[in-house]
Amino acid sequence: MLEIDFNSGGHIQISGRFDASQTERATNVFGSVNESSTVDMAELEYISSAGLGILLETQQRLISGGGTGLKLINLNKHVLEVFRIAGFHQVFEIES
Amino acid sequence: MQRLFPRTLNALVDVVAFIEHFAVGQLNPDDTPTVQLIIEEIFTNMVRHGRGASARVASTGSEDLPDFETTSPDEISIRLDRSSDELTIELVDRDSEEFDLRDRKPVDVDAPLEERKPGGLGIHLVKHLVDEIRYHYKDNVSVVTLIKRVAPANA
Repeated sequence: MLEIDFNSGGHIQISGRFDASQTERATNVFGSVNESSTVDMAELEYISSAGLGILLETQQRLISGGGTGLKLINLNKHVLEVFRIAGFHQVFEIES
Repeated sequence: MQRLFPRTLNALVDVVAFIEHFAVGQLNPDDTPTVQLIIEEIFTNMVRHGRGASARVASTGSEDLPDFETTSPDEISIRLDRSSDELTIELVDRDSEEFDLRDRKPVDVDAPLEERKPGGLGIHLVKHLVDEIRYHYKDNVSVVTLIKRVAPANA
């Protein structure tokens, strides 16, 4: 199960599993993000390409709108490895 | 260990439970999320690109295919088998077009943000996370076999 919580000041916490079964809901939630934000992934156990795709599309939309995009923090070992293989460390600011 | 799953993304929760059940005593905890990722990407691909019952053509099976027990085109079979330092992952889709993921063009992970596309990332991940990919297609049946070297279960 994936949980996405919005806090004040552009701070988003995501926890659980960001897999293909969450695509529709997560697309809607991240589609509502309209400002550059910090995404805290400390409680995110797992991510697959479905989650990567949603984050990528959000990043492209925010950057093309003139913002600084998403800053990703506190990635666990598995999530960080997936981001590295996907080359996302080159298109996101990541602080693990 | 083998199990059949319905051809739907809603089955992913059961796929994860199946892998976690297998992992007990068989996989190092560091390898488990990677194995889940590999299987999710291939399973999801089969769900999304399988032909579906409406396009079904009767499949007769073949003696050339590995021994598997899939009985319905609406189900996907997943088999896990560990021997020494290797894990064999086999997914069987009996209602598919030919799709050899080894032939997919590589994703340009160095492309600038505006040129990046989400498509193909799953296969890109799988190719990087396994040591060998085998593919067999005959009579609408796709058999994807992935070999991954894994750490000792209790390391």
